[in-house]
Amino acid sequence: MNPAIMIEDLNLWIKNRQILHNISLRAPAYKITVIIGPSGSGKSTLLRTINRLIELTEGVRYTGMIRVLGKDIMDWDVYELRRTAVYVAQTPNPFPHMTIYENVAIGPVLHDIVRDKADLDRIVRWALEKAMLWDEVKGRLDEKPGVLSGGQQQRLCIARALALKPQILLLDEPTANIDPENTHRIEEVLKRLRDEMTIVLVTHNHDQAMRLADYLVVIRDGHIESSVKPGD
Amino acid sequence: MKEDRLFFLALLPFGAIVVAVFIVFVSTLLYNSLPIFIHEGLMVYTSSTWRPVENNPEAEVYGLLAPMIGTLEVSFLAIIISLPPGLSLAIMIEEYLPTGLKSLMETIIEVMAGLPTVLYGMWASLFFADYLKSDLMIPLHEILWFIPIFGCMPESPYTVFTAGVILGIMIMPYMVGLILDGIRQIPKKIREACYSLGMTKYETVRILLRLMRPVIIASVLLSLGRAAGETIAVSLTIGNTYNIPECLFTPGYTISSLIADQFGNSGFYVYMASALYAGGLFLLLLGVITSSTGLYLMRRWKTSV
Ligand SMILES: Nc1ncnc2c1ncn2[C@@H]1O[C@H](COP(=O)(O)OP(=O)(O)O)[C@@H](O)[C@H]1O
Ligand SMILES: [Mg+2]
Repeated sequence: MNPAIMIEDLNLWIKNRQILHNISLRAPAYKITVIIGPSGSGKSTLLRTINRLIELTEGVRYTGMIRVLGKDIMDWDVYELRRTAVYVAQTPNPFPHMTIYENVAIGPVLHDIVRDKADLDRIVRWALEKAMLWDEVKGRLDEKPGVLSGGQQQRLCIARALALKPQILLLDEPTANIDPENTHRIEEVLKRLRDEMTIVLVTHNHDQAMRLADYLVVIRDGHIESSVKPGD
Repeated sequence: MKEDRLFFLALLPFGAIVVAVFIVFVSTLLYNSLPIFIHEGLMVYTSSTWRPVENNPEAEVYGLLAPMIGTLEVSFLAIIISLPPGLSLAIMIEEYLPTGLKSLMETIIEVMAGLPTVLYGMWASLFFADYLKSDLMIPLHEILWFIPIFGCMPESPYTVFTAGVILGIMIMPYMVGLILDGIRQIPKKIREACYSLGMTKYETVRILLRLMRPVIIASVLLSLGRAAGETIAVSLTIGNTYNIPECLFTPGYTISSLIADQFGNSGFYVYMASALYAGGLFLLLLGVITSSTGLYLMRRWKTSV
């Protein structure tokens, strides 16, 4: 099967400082690929390059080729690319002025993938269930996300991403700064999503990598150190 | 810490001075308005008769209603005129301009916000008012004559409308500065959330605008307070005439231009100065309401994002 993401010889500079060196990797479809490495090694940068979110950073320049679902990322409509391969940030970033419901609904509403209110309700519920948050919030969908704990907010952000029905989920240390209970939940969420989409997960937690990875990529100082299939 | 305490005690007098000045200021206003309240009660705020009479204090009547309405009309006009371009300008500067142009625009805005207001007044009364009359006021009257506020043919270039427009031009840079401050308080991660959901710039700006609604309201209130108190630029353009301006194309007064214009005469009468103080009280109240609400909204918003 074709890999969902294919990166070939990626070099990336921010303000003329090279951050990524000769990165090549493949993220197979319907698998969890875990990128692990110490802080500052370029994990977030790599993840954000895949859907061109990195272009928001000033002074970025890169060479090499990235294909998402077989198509060069430069040939994608950038907005469509970001909806197909959705990035979930390390610190939860729900919209503070919108309700919990609106936070999840905003993607489908903006991108016209719903027919009517009932359809939207269904998508919101589906996404919250997938993110294992539904039971905790179903009675207070019209409250602001500020009432949720950090771990719940992170799952809300995952639900918000899922509501776009993406084919690829790019997760940047989703369990950093989050308690063990919520960490466990999020890992459970990801395991269940594996059959439905391709997941790339960045972490610096070795145990977590071992629990989740179908493929494991170790990155250090912007270089890929090794690329293995755990268990081999 | 002993030094900390000493340092605090050493600074205390300066804080106390500010508070003391404020208290003296407010009590002076109150004390000096007393005679007019005793003379005519709250009529001073509800009537629109202005009748100075020499050597017969009992016949003197001063009602501030007309200039109070003038103040509100001019200020609202200023907001209506400055908000749409001000908001657009702030968005353009923050979201669309490249860094170089951005700092150029910001410098221009800061200079404009800091110019002495007498310059705006002079420019308007010597130059801009005539064009305003021939190119905007007369056409507006000809097209919208059936709306009462546009219902009269402008005779002089110095009208309530002129003052409102010039105030609008004047407070716009101030408002842009406040809105820009607000936009910059929005955490980067929120903008990033928009883009990572595949939103376009336009969609992102719409989300940010909704998020910023309290800031926009606060900026409007603070600008309103500033417009209501502005004196010299209004004095030079409003035509300084005592009437209730039902039509914007007639000359009028605001409280502050009334005070500036009449203060010199007040020595000839017994109650006029006191009436002007009562006008000052109105301005103080308006200022306290607009700035405290504005600052409150601004602060609450900053802790919520
Ligand atoms: N906006 C930026 N400007 C300058 N340098 C940056 C920027 N973002 C990241 N970097 C640098 O790139 C390197 C990798 O950062 P990052 O991808 O965030 O690492 P990680 O996610 O592995 O902690 C770091 O050395 C960091 O200083
Ligand atoms: Mg990171």
